[in-house]
Amino acid sequence: MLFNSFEFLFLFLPITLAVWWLCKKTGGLRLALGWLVLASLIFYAVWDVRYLAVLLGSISINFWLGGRILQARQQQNDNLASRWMKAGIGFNLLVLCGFKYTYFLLANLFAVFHAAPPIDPVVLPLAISFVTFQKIAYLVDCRRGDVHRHNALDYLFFVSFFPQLIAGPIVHHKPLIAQTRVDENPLFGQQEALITGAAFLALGLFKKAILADSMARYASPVFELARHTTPGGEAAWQAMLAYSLQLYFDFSAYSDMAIGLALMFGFKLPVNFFSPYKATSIIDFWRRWHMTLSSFLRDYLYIPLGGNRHGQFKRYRNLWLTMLLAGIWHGAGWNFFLWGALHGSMLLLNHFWHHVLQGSAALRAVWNKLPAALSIVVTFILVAFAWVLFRAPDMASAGHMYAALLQPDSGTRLPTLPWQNIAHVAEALLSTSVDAGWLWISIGMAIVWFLPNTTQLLKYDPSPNVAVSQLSERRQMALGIIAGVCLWFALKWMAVRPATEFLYFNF
Amino acid sequence: MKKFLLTMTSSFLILSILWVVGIKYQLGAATASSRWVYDAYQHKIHAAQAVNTPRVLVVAGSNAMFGIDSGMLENFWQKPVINLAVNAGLGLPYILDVSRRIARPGDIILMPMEYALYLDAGKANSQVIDYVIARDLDYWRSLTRLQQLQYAAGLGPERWLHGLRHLPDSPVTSGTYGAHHLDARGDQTDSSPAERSAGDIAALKVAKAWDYGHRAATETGGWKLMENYAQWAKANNICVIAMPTVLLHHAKYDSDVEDQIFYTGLPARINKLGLEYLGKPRDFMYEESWFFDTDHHLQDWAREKHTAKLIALLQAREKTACDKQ
Repeated sequence: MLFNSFEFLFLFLPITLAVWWLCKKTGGLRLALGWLVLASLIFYAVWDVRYLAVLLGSISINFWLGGRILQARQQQNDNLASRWMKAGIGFNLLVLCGFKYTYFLLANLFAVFHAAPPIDPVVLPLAISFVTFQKIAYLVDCRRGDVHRHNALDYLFFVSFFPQLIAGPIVHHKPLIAQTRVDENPLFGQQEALITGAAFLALGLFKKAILADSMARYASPVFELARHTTPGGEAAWQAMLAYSLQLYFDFSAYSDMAIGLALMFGFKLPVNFFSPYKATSIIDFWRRWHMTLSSFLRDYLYIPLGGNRHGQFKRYRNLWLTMLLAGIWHGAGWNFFLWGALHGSMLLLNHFWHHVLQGSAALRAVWNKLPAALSIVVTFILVAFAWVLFRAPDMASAGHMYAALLQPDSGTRLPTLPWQNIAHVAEALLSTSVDAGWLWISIGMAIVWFLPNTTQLLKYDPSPNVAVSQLSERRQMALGIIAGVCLWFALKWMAVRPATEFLYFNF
Repeated sequence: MKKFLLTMTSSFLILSILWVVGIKYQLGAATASSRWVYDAYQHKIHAAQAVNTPRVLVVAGSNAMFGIDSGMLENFWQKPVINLAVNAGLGLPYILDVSRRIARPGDIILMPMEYALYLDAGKANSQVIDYVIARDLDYWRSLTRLQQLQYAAGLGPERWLHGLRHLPDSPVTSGTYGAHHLDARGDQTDSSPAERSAGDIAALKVAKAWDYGHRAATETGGWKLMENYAQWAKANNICVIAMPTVLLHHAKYDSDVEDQIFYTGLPARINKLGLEYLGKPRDFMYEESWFFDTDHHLQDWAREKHTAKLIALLQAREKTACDKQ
């Protein structure tokens, strides 16, 4: 079930919310949590009921493993606890690799012998990449002693809570479960949480239905063409920029909706995006893009690899390896491998440059005088260039795209809008016609560069068990207008265009 | 909370009212996109109305406009034949409604309906919404309030804005589609191999197999609409004969289990609804060289062969529910 579908918005959500409130009021929070788990499993099963068994099986095994780790810790047997943890991580990675990488590995292996792989591509159970990370984090948290209440209902809720189940934000057990106590969570009694949640949801719907899906119309056909041939230079630039915006609006929309939905139930989820295209460097970009993934990789991969504790060389190596694995996590393909390697290399260069600047006061003085806008534009272009690898269905397509991007004047020019006819321009914009591509991209760029992000706009503090700020009447009215207008436009668009899946469902 | 809900609901309502008022203002405002269909229907409706004796009406989407030689059928039946087929994109409810408005007791309706139409549960698509709001206010007024709301919801924003502009209307005089390429009986003209463009040929090359079999197994379909239509025809002494549509053949139709179930079972399914169905769908799937610009549109020479096959079926037809007419 998609957040941007009528059945979710007008059937699943109202029923789930109503029963949640009823259960909380009459039977207490534990009953309400039980209901939320059940609703979340239904939400998941609607896609493909067969994968519910995979999810539940994996949840059961992980819960049992978590119990073993905690028991070993209680017995002060650290070695045993570590072995259980490693067994758990191994199990989770095996499941993930089995579904995600088996075909890729076999295809490459058999390609060496010019033969076809003996199996067809495996259909990836939805959410497996995100859920696997959360389960691994739980096992590590158990080992570290960060889990104080190992409870089946809590664990089920932590893994399956539907707003974040499919595509994050990647949530940690401790901050989420800390919010399941009535006496500690002020949001359960706060109407502002519902209001802010609804506003998040409306803004997210707008971003997805109107901005992301419109950008897709200028990206997808060109990337499709690149499967077969080199597109025109202008078309390739348009597609690269449109895809960069599509991916941001799409994924951040999902995160906004997830945060909004969770707030409506009285829970806070971490912020996942903070205006990433306003980043002034690649390092800054990764502090703003898919922030919960970056945190996870830092805490559970980069630091265990040694982090920055063993000198500059190993620090850079660990950083590069972390980014490489981040690339592979996104998909089984050489393009994702290269995308990770490219970002790892850019991060290394960025860190190295900082190192150089630290050693030269004169250079630093010149560097600091450069306008931030220049850094923002250069960073964005670098990131956009790398997204080509991320979006291209294979390496040959990526090659075609890069060839076209490096020759901006090649191929035929795209049609231009008759600017003197405003009504025609408006129609072209609304119909996302071919000639309105640059207009849509300009609007998208203006939004990501000049407007506050949703977290800023709605003054969202993700700290658990901290009340949502009180809203003045004026602010309530402003939020109401924003939510009403965004919701109306999103629903209008959804009524005339079929709902599309979120891009990160593929990962 | 109250202020938030109030302003959110108010904004939503104000925009909805603006939308509806905009639609009211543009009812009947012509659009270029709906003009060729309008011209074609006017041409065919005038032809049908000009005949006072019992007629044969061909009711379907554009497959029949390209694929039926009404002159050959006229020779067979010795009755005037009017080809009312225009465009399957208008959807089953609208196509059936047009035929209801034109048919009279004693008429025969020949219905080589596209498979997509049998699967059409009646949800208005952008094309029929555009057409009805711009060209057919009688149909608009015949809709229930709920249906009108569904039309309003389904109207695209660009189309809404376009309608508000009340742009001048002019007949379509070029291109493949329109009244300028219809003969007196409503059949498509200028569909010879020589008139195919490179784009037409390319479009056919990339035509993919349809998934009607799967859709029939999973969707509601338009069976209820067809059943109601059969009852209406019976009550009005109109004989309806359903026949297979023209379709470009793909190997999938012979191998896919769901497709086989759908195509082989279709005649019996239509019979159950109270309609006579002649022929087997598989016998009317042809190779690419027969087609003009889409996988449903035959070239003129292929139309003759196809119509001859239909006539052979009609000749061999047993006495049926609506009697042998």
